[in-house]
Amino acid sequence: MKDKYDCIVVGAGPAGSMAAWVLAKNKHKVLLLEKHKEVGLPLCCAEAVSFRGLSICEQVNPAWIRSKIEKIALCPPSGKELKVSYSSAGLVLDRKIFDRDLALRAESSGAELKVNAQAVGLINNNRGEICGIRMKKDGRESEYQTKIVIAADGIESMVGRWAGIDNALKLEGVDSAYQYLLKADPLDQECIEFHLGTKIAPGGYAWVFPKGKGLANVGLAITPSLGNNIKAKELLDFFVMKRFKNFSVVEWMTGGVPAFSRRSQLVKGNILLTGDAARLVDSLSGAGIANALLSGKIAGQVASEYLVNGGNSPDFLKKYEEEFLKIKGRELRFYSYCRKIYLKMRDEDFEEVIQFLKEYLKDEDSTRLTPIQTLKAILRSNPKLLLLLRHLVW
Amino acid sequence: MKKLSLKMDLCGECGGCVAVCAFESLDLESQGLRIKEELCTLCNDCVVFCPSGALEITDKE
Repeated sequence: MKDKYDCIVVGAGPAGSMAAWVLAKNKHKVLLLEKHKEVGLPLCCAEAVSFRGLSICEQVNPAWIRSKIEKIALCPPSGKELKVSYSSAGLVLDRKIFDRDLALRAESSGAELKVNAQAVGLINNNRGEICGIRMKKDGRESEYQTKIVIAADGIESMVGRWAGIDNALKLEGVDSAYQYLLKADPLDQECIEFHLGTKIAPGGYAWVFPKGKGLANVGLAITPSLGNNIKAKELLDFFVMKRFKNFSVVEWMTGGVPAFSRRSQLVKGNILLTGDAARLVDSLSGAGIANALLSGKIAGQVASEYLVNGGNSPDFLKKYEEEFLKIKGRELRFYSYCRKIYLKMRDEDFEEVIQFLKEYLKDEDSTRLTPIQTLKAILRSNPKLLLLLRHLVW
Repeated sequence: MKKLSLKMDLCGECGGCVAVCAFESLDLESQGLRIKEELCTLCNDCVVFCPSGALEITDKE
Protein backbone atom coordinates (compact mmCIF):
# COMPACT_ATOMS: atom_id res chain seq x y z
CA MET A 1 0.00 0.00 0.00
CA LYS A 2 1.21 3.45 -0.96
CA ASP A 3 0.63 6.01 1.76
CA LYS A 4 -0.49 5.78 5.36
CA TYR A 5 -3.10 8.14 6.75
CA ASP A 6 -4.67 8.59 10.17
CA CYS A 7 -8.01 9.15 8.50
CA ILE A 8 -9.42 9.06 4.97
CA VAL A 9 -12.54 11.15 4.41
CA VAL A 10 -14.61 10.08 1.41
CA GLY A 11 -16.54 12.99 -0.08
CA ALA A 12 -15.72 16.72 0.04
CA GLY A 13 -19.21 18.06 0.74
CA PRO A 14 -19.97 20.02 3.93
CA ALA A 15 -19.79 16.92 6.20
CA GLY A 16 -16.52 15.61 4.77
CA SER A 17 -14.78 18.98 4.66
CA MET A 18 -15.80 19.74 8.27
CA ALA A 19 -14.44 16.40 9.47
CA ALA A 20 -11.20 16.81 7.50
CA TRP A 21 -10.78 20.37 8.83
CA VAL A 22 -11.18 19.31 12.48
CA LEU A 23 -8.73 16.44 12.05
CA ALA A 24 -6.19 18.53 10.14
CA LYS A 25 -6.35 21.30 12.77
CA ASN A 26 -5.46 18.65 15.34
CA LYS A 27 -2.37 17.71 13.30
CA HIS A 28 -3.58 14.34 12.04
CA LYS A 29 -2.68 13.08 8.59
CA VAL A 30 -5.90 13.33 6.59
CA LEU A 31 -6.79 12.54 3.00
CA LEU A 32 -9.98 14.14 1.63
CA LEU A 33 -11.28 12.44 -1.52
CA GLU A 34 -13.76 13.95 -3.97
CA LYS A 35 -14.84 11.78 -6.86
CA HIS A 36 -16.02 14.65 -9.03
CA LYS A 37 -13.58 16.76 -10.94
CA GLU A 38 -14.62 19.80 -8.90
CA VAL A 39 -15.70 20.33 -5.30
CA GLY A 40 -19.28 21.62 -5.10
CA LEU A 41 -20.57 20.01 -8.29
CA PRO A 42 -22.97 18.59 -9.32
CA LEU A 43 -25.20 20.67 -7.09
CA CYS A 44 -28.14 18.74 -5.61
CA CYS A 45 -29.46 21.10 -2.96
CA ALA A 46 -32.03 23.83 -2.28
CA GLU A 47 -29.28 25.66 -0.31
CA ALA A 48 -31.34 26.95 2.65
CA VAL A 49 -29.90 26.75 6.16
CA SER A 50 -30.62 28.38 9.51
CA PHE A 51 -28.20 30.90 11.06
CA ARG A 52 -27.59 28.47 13.89
CA GLY A 53 -26.92 25.64 11.46
CA LEU A 54 -24.39 27.68 9.51
CA SER A 55 -22.63 28.86 12.67
CA ILE A 56 -21.44 25.26 13.22
CA CYS A 57 -18.77 26.18 10.63
CA GLU A 58 -17.29 28.60 13.22
CA GLN A 59 -15.80 31.06 10.70
CA VAL A 60 -18.63 32.16 8.41
CA ASN A 61 -17.63 33.83 5.14
CA PRO A 62 -20.26 36.38 3.94
CA ALA A 63 -19.51 35.31 0.33
CA TRP A 64 -21.37 32.03 1.03
CA ILE A 65 -24.64 33.86 1.61
CA ARG A 66 -26.88 34.76 -1.34
CA SER A 67 -29.93 35.99 0.55
CA LYS A 68 -31.37 36.43 4.02
CA ILE A 69 -34.85 35.14 4.68
CA GLU A 70 -37.19 37.55 6.48
CA LYS A 71 -40.59 35.99 5.71
CA ILE A 72 -42.10 32.55 5.30
CA ALA A 73 -45.16 31.82 3.16
CA LEU A 74 -47.11 28.58 3.49
CA CYS A 75 -49.50 28.02 0.60
CA PRO A 76 -52.20 25.33 0.78
CA PRO A 77 -53.97 24.02 -2.35
CA SER A 78 -56.73 26.69 -2.08
CA GLY A 79 -54.09 29.41 -2.45
CA LYS A 80 -55.15 31.03 0.85
CA GLU A 81 -51.60 31.50 1.97
CA LEU A 82 -50.18 32.31 5.36
CA LYS A 83 -47.31 34.78 5.33
CA VAL A 84 -45.37 35.44 8.51
CA SER A 85 -42.51 37.80 9.17
CA TYR A 86 -39.71 35.77 10.59
CA SER A 87 -36.59 37.85 10.71
CA SER A 88 -33.42 35.81 10.79
CA ALA A 89 -35.36 32.69 9.78
CA GLY A 90 -32.36 31.59 7.79
CA LEU A 91 -30.23 32.00 4.73
CA VAL A 92 -29.94 30.80 1.18
CA LEU A 93 -26.36 29.81 0.40
CA ASP A 94 -24.30 29.56 -2.72
CA ARG A 95 -23.23 25.94 -2.26
CA LYS A 96 -20.67 26.08 -5.06
CA ILE A 97 -18.72 28.76 -3.17
CA PHE A 98 -19.54 27.31 0.26
CA ASP A 99 -18.44 23.73 -0.51
CA ARG A 100 -15.25 24.88 -2.20
CA ASP A 101 -14.36 27.20 0.70
CA LEU A 102 -14.88 24.47 3.30
CA ALA A 103 -12.72 22.03 1.33
CA LEU A 104 -10.01 24.66 0.90
CA ARG A 105 -10.15 25.48 4.59
CA ALA A 106 -9.48 21.81 5.38
CA GLU A 107 -6.66 21.83 2.85
CA SER A 108 -5.11 25.01 4.30
CA SER A 109 -5.15 23.38 7.74
CA GLY A 110 -3.11 20.47 6.40
CA ALA A 111 -5.53 17.98 4.86
CA GLU A 112 -4.55 16.51 1.51
CA LEU A 113 -7.33 17.05 -1.05
CA LYS A 114 -7.66 14.93 -4.17
CA VAL A 115 -10.38 15.59 -6.75
CA ASN A 116 -11.46 13.25 -9.52
CA ALA A 117 -10.56 10.59 -6.94
CA GLN A 118 -13.18 7.92 -6.39
CA ALA A 119 -13.10 5.42 -3.53
CA VAL A 120 -13.88 2.05 -5.12
CA GLY A 121 -13.54 -0.33 -2.17
CA LEU A 122 -12.37 -0.96 1.39
CA ILE A 123 -9.39 -3.12 2.34
CA ASN A 124 -9.59 -5.53 5.27
CA ASN A 125 -6.65 -6.76 7.34
CA ASN A 126 -6.33 -10.40 8.46
CA ARG A 127 -8.42 -9.66 11.58
CA GLY A 128 -11.30 -8.51 9.39
CA GLU A 129 -10.88 -4.83 10.32
CA ILE A 130 -10.86 -2.08 7.70
CA CYS A 131 -7.27 -0.92 7.21
CA GLY A 132 -7.39 0.91 3.91
CA ILE A 133 -9.18 2.19 0.86
CA ARG A 134 -8.88 1.44 -2.83
CA MET A 135 -9.09 4.59 -4.87
CA LYS A 136 -9.38 5.22 -8.59
CA LYS A 137 -7.92 8.42 -10.02
CA ASP A 138 -7.29 9.22 -13.67
CA GLY A 139 -8.07 5.63 -14.64
CA ARG A 140 -5.52 4.10 -12.22
CA GLU A 141 -6.28 2.27 -9.02
CA SER A 142 -4.15 2.66 -5.90
CA GLU A 143 -4.40 1.61 -2.26
CA TYR A 144 -4.06 3.78 0.83
CA GLN A 145 -3.71 2.66 4.41
CA THR A 146 -5.80 4.33 7.12
CA LYS A 147 -6.80 3.93 10.76
CA ILE A 148 -10.26 5.46 10.32
CA VAL A 149 -12.61 6.06 7.38
CA ILE A 150 -15.13 8.89 7.52
CA ALA A 151 -17.88 8.25 4.97
CA ALA A 152 -19.25 11.57 3.73
CA ASP A 153 -20.12 10.17 0.33
CA GLY A 154 -23.65 11.46 0.16
CA ILE A 155 -26.95 9.72 -0.39
CA GLU A 156 -25.48 6.83 -2.38
CA SER A 157 -22.93 6.06 0.38
CA MET A 158 -21.13 3.13 -1.16
CA VAL A 159 -18.70 3.16 1.77
CA GLY A 160 -21.58 2.29 4.11
CA ARG A 161 -22.58 -0.61 1.88
CA TRP A 162 -19.04 -1.94 1.58
CA ALA A 163 -18.89 -1.88 5.37
CA GLY A 164 -21.96 -4.12 5.43
CA ILE A 165 -24.52 -1.53 6.54
CA ASP A 166 -27.91 -2.21 5.00
CA ASN A 167 -28.60 1.39 4.02
CA ALA A 168 -30.66 0.97 0.84
CA LEU A 169 -33.54 3.44 1.02
CA LYS A 170 -37.17 2.39 0.71
CA LEU A 171 -39.28 4.41 -1.72
CA GLU A 172 -41.31 5.87 1.16
CA GLY A 173 -38.11 6.90 2.99
CA VAL A 174 -36.64 9.12 0.30
CA ASP A 175 -37.76 12.24 -1.52
CA SER A 176 -37.36 12.59 -5.25
CA ALA A 177 -36.62 16.22 -6.10
CA TYR A 178 -36.15 18.39 -9.14
CA GLN A 179 -35.06 22.01 -9.02
CA TYR A 180 -34.50 24.93 -11.34
CA LEU A 181 -32.43 28.01 -10.73
CA LEU A 182 -34.83 30.52 -12.27
CA LYS A 183 -34.69 34.16 -13.17
CA ALA A 184 -38.31 34.70 -12.33
CA ASP A 185 -41.02 37.27 -11.84
CA PRO A 186 -42.88 37.99 -9.57
CA LEU A 187 -40.56 37.18 -6.71
CA ASP A 188 -40.33 38.47 -3.13
CA GLN A 189 -36.57 38.39 -2.49
CA GLU A 190 -37.00 38.16 1.28
CA CYS A 191 -39.64 35.45 1.42
CA ILE A 192 -39.31 31.70 1.14
CA GLU A 193 -42.41 29.89 -0.06
CA PHE A 194 -43.64 26.38 0.63
CA HIS A 195 -46.53 25.12 -1.50
CA LEU A 196 -48.40 22.14 -0.09
CA GLY A 197 -51.00 19.76 -1.48
CA THR A 198 -51.42 16.17 -2.60
CA LYS A 199 -51.79 17.20 -6.22
CA ILE A 200 -49.05 19.85 -6.16
CA ALA A 201 -46.44 17.53 -4.62
CA PRO A 202 -47.63 14.17 -3.23
CA GLY A 203 -45.77 13.47 0.01
CA GLY A 204 -43.58 16.55 -0.45
CA TYR A 205 -43.86 20.22 -1.32
CA ALA A 206 -42.82 22.81 -3.86
CA TRP A 207 -40.50 25.62 -2.79
CA VAL A 208 -39.27 29.03 -3.87
CA PHE A 209 -36.00 30.07 -2.20
CA PRO A 210 -34.78 33.48 -3.42
CA LYS A 211 -31.08 33.83 -4.19
CA GLY A 212 -30.84 37.56 -4.94
CA LYS A 213 -30.67 39.42 -8.28
CA GLY A 214 -34.10 38.16 -9.35
CA LEU A 215 -32.97 34.54 -9.06
CA ALA A 216 -34.49 31.74 -7.01
CA ASN A 217 -34.14 28.04 -6.40
CA VAL A 218 -37.55 26.75 -7.39
CA GLY A 219 -38.00 23.07 -6.77
CA LEU A 220 -40.38 20.29 -5.95
CA ALA A 221 -39.99 17.07 -4.03
CA ILE A 222 -42.33 14.11 -3.85
CA THR A 223 -42.34 10.82 -1.99
CA PRO A 224 -41.95 8.49 -4.97
CA SER A 225 -44.13 5.74 -3.51
CA LEU A 226 -47.06 8.21 -3.54
CA GLY A 227 -46.37 9.68 -6.95
CA ASN A 228 -48.32 7.28 -9.21
CA ASN A 229 -45.36 7.35 -11.57
CA ILE A 230 -45.58 11.11 -12.03
CA LYS A 231 -42.11 12.63 -12.03
CA ALA A 232 -41.03 15.52 -9.80
CA LYS A 233 -39.92 17.30 -12.99
CA GLU A 234 -43.39 17.14 -14.59
CA LEU A 235 -45.04 18.47 -11.43
CA LEU A 236 -42.44 21.22 -11.11
CA ASP A 237 -42.94 22.33 -14.71
CA PHE A 238 -46.65 22.61 -14.01
CA PHE A 239 -46.03 24.53 -10.76
CA VAL A 240 -43.60 26.99 -12.38
CA MET A 241 -46.06 27.79 -15.18
CA LYS A 242 -48.76 28.51 -12.60
CA ARG A 243 -46.61 30.43 -10.12
CA PHE A 244 -44.61 32.79 -12.39
CA LYS A 245 -45.60 35.19 -15.13
CA ASN A 246 -42.13 35.25 -16.65
CA PHE A 247 -39.19 32.98 -16.09
CA SER A 248 -35.95 31.73 -17.63
CA VAL A 249 -34.22 28.54 -16.58
CA VAL A 250 -30.58 29.16 -15.65
CA GLU A 251 -29.79 25.67 -14.29
CA TRP A 252 -31.57 22.44 -13.47
CA MET A 253 -30.71 19.72 -10.99
CA THR A 254 -32.10 16.52 -9.54
CA GLY A 255 -31.91 15.42 -5.93
CA GLY A 256 -32.55 12.53 -3.62
CA VAL A 257 -33.32 13.38 -0.01
CA PRO A 258 -32.82 10.48 2.41
CA ALA A 259 -35.17 10.59 5.41
CA PHE A 260 -33.76 9.83 8.86
CA SER A 261 -35.12 6.65 10.36
CA ARG A 262 -34.53 4.65 13.49
CA ARG A 263 -32.43 2.34 11.31
CA SER A 264 -29.92 5.06 10.46
CA GLN A 265 -26.50 3.82 11.59
CA LEU A 266 -23.61 6.20 12.22
CA VAL A 267 -20.72 3.94 13.22
CA LYS A 268 -19.49 0.50 12.25
CA GLY A 269 -16.06 -0.54 13.52
CA ASN A 270 -13.66 2.19 12.44
CA ILE A 271 -16.04 3.66 9.86
CA LEU A 272 -17.99 6.81 10.75
CA LEU A 273 -20.90 7.83 8.54
CA THR A 274 -21.86 11.50 8.32
CA GLY A 275 -24.40 13.77 6.62
CA ASP A 276 -26.57 12.24 3.89
CA ALA A 277 -24.47 9.05 4.00
CA ALA A 278 -25.84 8.52 7.54
CA ARG A 279 -29.34 9.72 6.51
CA LEU A 280 -29.06 12.68 8.92
CA VAL A 281 -31.76 14.69 7.19
CA ASP A 282 -34.82 16.23 8.81
CA SER A 283 -37.46 13.95 7.29
CA LEU A 284 -40.16 16.61 7.24
CA SER A 285 -38.41 19.55 5.57
CA GLY A 286 -35.57 17.65 3.90
CA ALA A 287 -33.01 20.02 5.45
CA GLY A 288 -29.59 18.42 5.70
CA ILE A 289 -26.81 21.03 5.63
CA ALA A 290 -26.74 21.77 9.38
CA ASN A 291 -26.76 18.07 10.30
CA ALA A 292 -24.03 17.42 7.76
CA LEU A 293 -21.86 20.14 9.32
CA LEU A 294 -22.52 19.00 12.88
CA SER A 295 -22.02 15.30 12.17
CA GLY A 296 -18.80 16.03 10.27
CA LYS A 297 -17.53 18.16 13.12
CA ILE A 298 -18.31 15.63 15.86
CA ALA A 299 -16.99 12.74 13.75
CA GLY A 300 -13.74 14.70 13.28
CA GLN A 301 -13.49 15.46 17.00
CA VAL A 302 -14.14 11.88 18.13
CA ALA A 303 -11.79 10.48 15.47
CA SER A 304 -9.10 12.88 16.68
CA GLU A 305 -9.57 11.80 20.33
CA TYR A 306 -9.35 8.17 19.25
CA LEU A 307 -6.12 8.79 17.34
CA VAL A 308 -4.53 10.70 20.24
CA ASN A 309 -5.35 7.99 22.79
CA GLY A 310 -3.84 5.28 20.59
CA GLY A 311 -4.70 2.42 22.95
CA ASN A 312 -8.46 2.78 22.55
CA SER A 313 -10.47 0.00 20.95
CA PRO A 314 -12.59 0.96 17.90
CA ASP A 315 -15.57 0.79 20.30
CA PHE A 316 -14.44 4.24 21.43
CA LEU A 317 -15.65 5.60 18.07
CA LYS A 318 -19.26 4.84 19.05
CA LYS A 319 -18.92 8.01 21.08
CA TYR A 320 -19.54 9.88 17.79
CA GLU A 321 -23.00 8.34 17.37
CA GLU A 322 -23.82 8.88 21.06
CA GLU A 323 -22.74 12.52 21.02
CA PHE A 324 -24.47 13.37 17.76
CA LEU A 325 -27.74 11.72 18.79
CA LYS A 326 -27.57 13.33 22.23
CA ILE A 327 -27.80 16.70 20.47
CA LYS A 328 -29.96 15.85 17.47
CA GLY A 329 -31.59 12.46 18.09
CA ARG A 330 -34.84 13.68 19.64
CA GLU A 331 -35.34 16.29 16.95
CA LEU A 332 -34.65 13.85 14.11
CA ARG A 333 -36.98 11.24 15.62
CA PHE A 334 -39.72 13.84 16.07
CA TYR A 335 -39.45 14.98 12.44
CA SER A 336 -39.50 11.36 11.35
CA TYR A 337 -42.76 10.92 13.30
CA CYS A 338 -44.19 14.09 11.71
CA ARG A 339 -43.26 12.79 8.25
CA LYS A 340 -45.41 9.70 8.85
CA ILE A 341 -48.35 12.00 9.57
CA TYR A 342 -47.51 14.30 6.66
CA LEU A 343 -47.57 11.43 4.18
CA LYS A 344 -51.15 10.66 5.26
CA MET A 345 -52.45 14.23 5.11
CA ARG A 346 -55.18 15.16 2.64
CA ASP A 347 -55.71 18.54 1.03
CA GLU A 348 -58.36 19.51 3.60
CA ASP A 349 -55.89 18.75 6.39
CA PHE A 350 -53.37 21.21 4.89
CA GLU A 351 -56.10 23.87 4.75
CA GLU A 352 -57.02 23.26 8.39
CA VAL A 353 -53.44 23.37 9.59
CA ILE A 354 -52.77 26.65 7.82
CA GLN A 355 -56.03 28.11 9.09
CA PHE A 356 -55.00 27.11 12.61
CA LEU A 357 -51.55 28.67 12.20
CA LYS A 358 -53.11 31.96 11.06
CA GLU A 359 -54.96 32.15 14.38
CA TYR A 360 -52.14 30.76 16.48
CA LEU A 361 -49.46 33.10 15.15
CA LYS A 362 -51.65 36.14 15.85
CA ASP A 363 -51.16 35.52 19.56
CA GLU A 364 -47.58 34.33 19.49
CA ASP A 365 -44.34 36.07 18.72
CA SER A 366 -43.39 33.99 15.69
CA THR A 367 -39.72 34.89 15.94
CA ARG A 368 -39.56 33.14 19.30
CA LEU A 369 -41.11 29.92 18.06
CA THR A 370 -38.97 27.03 16.99
CA PRO A 371 -40.25 24.78 14.18
CA ILE A 372 -40.70 21.99 16.76
CA GLN A 373 -42.83 24.18 19.07
CA THR A 374 -45.00 25.13 16.10
CA LEU A 375 -45.38 21.51 14.98
CA LYS A 376 -46.31 20.44 18.51
CA ALA A 377 -48.95 23.18 18.64
CA ILE A 378 -50.36 21.93 15.32
CA LEU A 379 -50.59 18.37 16.62
CA ARG A 380 -52.18 19.50 19.91
CA SER A 381 -54.77 21.59 18.07
CA ASN A 382 -55.67 18.93 15.60
CA PRO A 383 -55.74 15.49 17.23
CA LYS A 384 -57.35 14.25 14.03
CA LEU A 385 -53.89 14.33 12.49
CA LEU A 386 -52.68 11.81 15.03
CA LEU A 387 -55.55 9.54 14.03
CA LEU A 388 -54.03 9.40 10.56
CA LEU A 389 -51.41 7.22 12.19
CA ARG A 390 -53.81 4.70 13.62
CA HIS A 391 -53.05 2.07 11.00
CA LEU A 392 -49.33 2.37 11.40
CA VAL A 393 -47.44 -0.17 13.42
CA TRP A 394 -44.51 1.30 15.31
CA MET B 1 -36.05 -9.46 -22.86
CA LYS B 2 -36.00 -6.22 -20.86
CA LYS B 3 -33.20 -4.07 -19.54
CA LEU B 4 -32.71 -0.90 -17.52
CA SER B 5 -31.57 2.00 -19.67
CA LEU B 6 -30.40 5.52 -18.98
CA LYS B 7 -31.01 8.71 -20.89
CA MET B 8 -27.75 10.45 -20.02
CA ASP B 9 -28.95 13.93 -21.00
CA LEU B 10 -31.76 13.78 -18.40
CA CYS B 11 -29.60 12.44 -15.53
CA GLY B 12 -28.68 15.02 -12.86
CA GLU B 13 -26.28 12.59 -11.11
CA CYS B 14 -27.98 13.03 -7.73
CA GLY B 15 -27.30 9.42 -6.72
CA GLY B 16 -30.80 8.77 -5.36
CA CYS B 17 -31.26 5.77 -7.66
CA VAL B 18 -28.03 4.27 -6.33
CA ALA B 19 -29.38 4.66 -2.79
CA VAL B 20 -32.74 2.97 -3.48
CA CYS B 21 -31.18 0.04 -5.38
CA ALA B 22 -31.05 -2.95 -3.03
CA PHE B 23 -28.89 -4.94 -5.47
CA GLU B 24 -25.97 -2.54 -5.95
CA SER B 25 -26.60 -2.56 -9.68
CA LEU B 26 -26.05 1.19 -10.04
CA ASP B 27 -22.84 3.09 -9.50
CA LEU B 28 -22.32 6.83 -9.66
CA GLU B 29 -18.80 7.24 -10.99
CA SER B 30 -16.75 10.33 -11.76
CA GLN B 31 -17.98 10.11 -15.36
CA GLY B 32 -21.64 9.58 -14.49
CA LEU B 33 -24.12 6.82 -13.69
CA ARG B 34 -23.21 3.26 -14.63
CA ILE B 35 -25.71 0.38 -14.81
CA LYS B 36 -24.38 -3.07 -13.90
CA GLU B 37 -26.83 -5.06 -15.97
CA GLU B 38 -25.77 -8.40 -14.52
CA LEU B 39 -26.93 -7.35 -11.02
CA CYS B 40 -30.15 -5.60 -12.05
CA THR B 41 -33.36 -7.47 -11.18
CA LEU B 42 -35.62 -4.99 -13.06
CA CYS B 43 -37.39 -4.26 -9.74
CA ASN B 44 -38.22 -0.77 -11.05
CA ASP B 45 -37.47 1.12 -7.79
CA CYS B 46 -34.85 3.37 -9.43
CA VAL B 47 -37.25 4.11 -12.29
CA VAL B 48 -39.94 5.14 -9.78
CA PHE B 49 -37.44 7.24 -7.81
CA CYS B 50 -35.79 9.11 -10.70
CA PRO B 51 -36.99 12.75 -10.51
CA SER B 52 -36.39 13.44 -14.20
CA GLY B 53 -37.40 10.19 -15.91
CA ALA B 54 -33.82 9.44 -16.95
CA LEU B 55 -34.17 5.74 -16.12
CA GLU B 56 -36.57 3.39 -17.83
CA ILE B 57 -37.02 -0.28 -18.52
CA THR B 58 -36.85 -0.94 -22.24
CA ASP B 59 -36.68 -3.91 -24.59
CA LYS B 60 -33.25 -5.33 -25.24
CA GLU B 61 -32.27 -4.83 -28.85
